[in-house]
Order: sequence, then C-alpha cells, then structure tokens
Amino acid sequence: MVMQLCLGYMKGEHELAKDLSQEVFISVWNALDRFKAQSSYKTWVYRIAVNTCLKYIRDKKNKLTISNVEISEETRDEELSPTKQFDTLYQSIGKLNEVDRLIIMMVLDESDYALISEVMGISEGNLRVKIHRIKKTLKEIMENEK
Amino acid sequence: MKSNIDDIKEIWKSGQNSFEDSNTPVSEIILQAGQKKKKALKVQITNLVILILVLFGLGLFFKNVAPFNQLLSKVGVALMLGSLSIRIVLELYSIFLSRKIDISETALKTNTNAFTYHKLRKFIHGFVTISILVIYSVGFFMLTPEFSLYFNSKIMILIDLSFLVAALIVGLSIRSAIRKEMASLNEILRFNKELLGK
Repeated sequence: MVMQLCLGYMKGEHELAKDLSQEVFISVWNALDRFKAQSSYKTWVYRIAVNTCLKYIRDKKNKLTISNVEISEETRDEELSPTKQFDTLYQSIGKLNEVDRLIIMMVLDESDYALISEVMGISEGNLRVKIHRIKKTLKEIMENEK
Repeated sequence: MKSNIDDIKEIWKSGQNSFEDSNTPVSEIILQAGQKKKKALKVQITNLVILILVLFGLGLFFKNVAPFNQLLSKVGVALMLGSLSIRIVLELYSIFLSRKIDISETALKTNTNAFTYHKLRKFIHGFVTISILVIYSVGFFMLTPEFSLYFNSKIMILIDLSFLVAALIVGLSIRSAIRKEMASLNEILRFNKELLGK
C-alpha cells in the first residue's frame, strides 16, 4: 500500500519512491506513541503517508529532479508487459497535481470515500466532486497515451 | 493503454504483488527512525546552544574583561544582551511549535498547522531577527564612545568595519532563511488550495 502510493506520487521513479516509502515508515514508527485508536490503523497510516508525501515534496522541491518521462512508442502498444503497464500508469498519475495524485491512488486502492475524507480532512461531498473530476482527467491523460 | 477506471484499478491491483520482496528489514527502519529523530533534535539544539553560548560569552566578557562605566555603554550592553535573550526565547517557542505538528492528523489540519509554524518562522527570521539585529547594532555602537577611550582611532575603525561585515553576513543569511520559509509557505498554500478545490 505505502510503496505503491509512493511510486505513483513519484511518477514511477523507483529509487525516489523507495526513499519516500522509507521516510513514511520512519514517520510511522516515530508517531506510534501518538496513536489514539480514534481511527483505524489503515486510516492512521494513510494520514502519515499522505502528510509525509506532501512534506517530502515541500522540503525537497529544489533538490528533486523527477523526469517527466514521455511515454515511448513501445509503451503505447496495446500489448504492454505488466511492468510497462504499471510504469505508464504511475507516469500518468504523476501528471496530476500532488493532492489529486494521492486521492486517486486511495481510490484505486479501493478505500471508501469515508476513509479518504478522514485522511484528507475534507467533506465527503467535496471529495465526491473532486474524485469525479480526477477520474475524468486521468482518463483523458491515459487516452492521450493510446 | 486501458483508460477505463475499472481497468486502471486492475492494473493497480496487479502492481501490488510486485513489492512483496522489496521491503527493508524492520530493524533497519527502527534504526533509521531513531537516527532521524536524533538528527532533527540535534539541528534545533545546536542553534539554541550557539545562541546561549554567545549570550554567556558576551555576558562574561562585559563582566570580567571589559566592565563599562558610562551609562551609555551600560545601556548598550543591556540592548545587546536583551536582544539576544529575546531571540533565544523565540527559538525555544519555535521548537515547541514544531513539535506540536502531528503528521497523523488529516492532511488539511497538518497543512494548516504547518502553515502557522512557517508563518511564525518567517516572522522570526524576518521582522524579529532584523529588529534584533538593529537593536544589537545600536547597542554595539553605544559602546564605541567608551571603547575609544582605550583604543586608538585605527583600531576603532577596524572594530566598526568588522562589525559591519558580520552584520552583512547575518543579513544575507536572514534573506536566505526568509526565502526558504516563503517557499514552504507557498507550497502549503498551494496544497491547501488543491485540497479545498479553490
């Protein structure tokens, strides 16, 4: 869950995603004594993951060089290998803004709207509208890659 | 490439299996967590220790090595030590605020808390530090009339020039710190706008 979230957030860059996921696990470990059981472990870990992702970009904005890899002719093929399919998906997600990226990845992870709303701190109504728009944008991005 | 949301979910799910063997050992994560905590604490404590050492160093210097007799000089010493003390108190408050940011809160709340923290940092690095630097400099120049009783004019010029160079260096570091805080504030504002869809 965490590694995949980081990979999508880092536009499919494996080394950066690994670094970020480690950062998330470290944050989880350091925050363990603050877990109050007011939410499920999943919600709690998601919150830390989302906040660490946003902080990571904020802190390392000037140092990060995430390549905006254009999807090659090979990856436009209908018969993509699974690895290529993941990479293309992560790169497409990477074209969304940071917050939208995190929300759509929780949707893809089949988290319900109540959980996502609890993680992001926005109302379910607002979230629904947002998710509808993000899905549309992602669909357009992926159709353009065809 | 499939673009239907259910197809995308399928690709996403099949991607989950590829991470099973790539986990870092738990013991290493615990070790790194401890190191990270120590490192963060070290950075905050180091700044504070430097400021406290400067305050005590100056205090001892003015008490034992160069005790001033004129009222103007005494006011100058009070301004210098007082401004440094205020900076130390604010640094302590800033550490306290940074520890209050809980990353297990919602993204919106954590972002809002981070915004308050960086806004305060910007205020401390900007208005407060510049004011402190000005008060400190005024305090320093208030010492010069009494200093000039013991040193010739060449040495006095050297002392004043070296102070101005030091103030310039501090000024440049203030500018870089403000820019850093401004960049963080802009990013937080952008995330909040994205979150609230504004």
